[in-house]
Amino acid sequence: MIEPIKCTLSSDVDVKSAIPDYILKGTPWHWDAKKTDHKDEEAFQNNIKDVDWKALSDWAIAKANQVKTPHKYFWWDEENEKVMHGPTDTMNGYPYYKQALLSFKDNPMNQHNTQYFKFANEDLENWFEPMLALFPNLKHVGISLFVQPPGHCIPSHVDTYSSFKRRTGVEVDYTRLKRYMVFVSDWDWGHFFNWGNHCINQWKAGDFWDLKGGVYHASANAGVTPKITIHWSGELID
Amino acid sequence: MTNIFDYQNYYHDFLSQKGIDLNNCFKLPSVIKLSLNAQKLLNIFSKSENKQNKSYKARPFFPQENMFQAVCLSNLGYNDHNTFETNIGLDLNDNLELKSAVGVNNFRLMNLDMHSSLVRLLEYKPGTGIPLHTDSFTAFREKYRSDRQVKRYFVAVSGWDWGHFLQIHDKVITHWSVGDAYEIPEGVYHLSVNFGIVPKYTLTITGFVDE
Repeated sequence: MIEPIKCTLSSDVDVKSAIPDYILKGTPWHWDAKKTDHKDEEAFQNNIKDVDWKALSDWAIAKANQVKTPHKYFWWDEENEKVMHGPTDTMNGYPYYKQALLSFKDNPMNQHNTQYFKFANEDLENWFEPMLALFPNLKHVGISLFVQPPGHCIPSHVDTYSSFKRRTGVEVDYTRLKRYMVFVSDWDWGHFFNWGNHCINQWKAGDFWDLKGGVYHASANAGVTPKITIHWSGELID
Repeated sequence: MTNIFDYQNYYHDFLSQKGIDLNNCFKLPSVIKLSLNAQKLLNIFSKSENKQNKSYKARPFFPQENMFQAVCLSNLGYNDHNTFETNIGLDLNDNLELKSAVGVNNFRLMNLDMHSSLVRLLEYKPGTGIPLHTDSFTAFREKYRSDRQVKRYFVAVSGWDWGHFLQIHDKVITHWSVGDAYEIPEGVYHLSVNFGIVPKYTLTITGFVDE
């Protein structure tokens, strides 16, 4: 049996109202899904060739198969009215909370369609140091590698850098924060990364994107093989 | 070698055996621009008492190849939550109402025989989609005991929004407008997904090509 929908369906959702004001002001963006003359695709930088991405991809898949249970997934705890991330972490009180309500309270996104494996920093074992060395222009760097299994997505959102703040404890200057992403495996059936109004597809392993703040984005794996990405969060060095 | 229970590449191997390769470019037929009254269609959907809720899974009546695809997808992690769909159109009255709302002129634009066509209206809520599969029109042909050419169209009822995607072989389709009709030829692998924030409404129109 399925559960009734939690919120009246509407094609007119004001997603912008869920974004913290300091992000909207600090990193302005067009916020128009219909806009076609955008420059969202300019976030692409280049292809990083001097890394054995196939080896990293194989390592990540082997680790995920070893762990078996995805570390992360979102769900709405109806009883306690909490947005949950993984088995025990709550997003209540975080800047992401209002965005999360749109996906996990009002829509049927839950632990069954938002799973991913996350290997962060030292979890990356021998890969951590070489990945850290790729971007010497950043300080307080955190690195996360995501393995997204088929059938799962990370719904549309704007980054709020919560884990960066938790990890470093430093006061966040959004104008100096950077989030970089590299595709670890080649594009395959059903792999999507929706960066603003640009749908990234047909990518090659090593493709490097500078995901500047304030842009609505999401990703999904509606295919048949794992989708693997690696992300750097850090502050620009003067 | 991974044991047979943990092995995850059955679908990929199956595609390879069939010679299905994303590196072979698919030539997408030109989009046909229909003039649709989306609100009228959504009203029919809203008041229908024959809504069918379903998810993508192996079903006893599937042809062998579709059955294999469905089993592979289930094994990969597709489930009731990420493939849930609500549709109308299989009921005769709903189908007639939908066809009437689409209108004679649009059937002419698609060059389809309106009388025998099947129109379904599909709703995919955020977090759901239909995974990689092919369509077979065998049942449709058998119903009418005809070997005439059959075409199927994906027609946008809601405008494109963030997280709405259609992939036909290697072509990823986005930014559609209401009324955009994309032909999905028989046997061509495709999928569609909504990982946005608003529901995605589309028609699938299947019919005999008017000769």
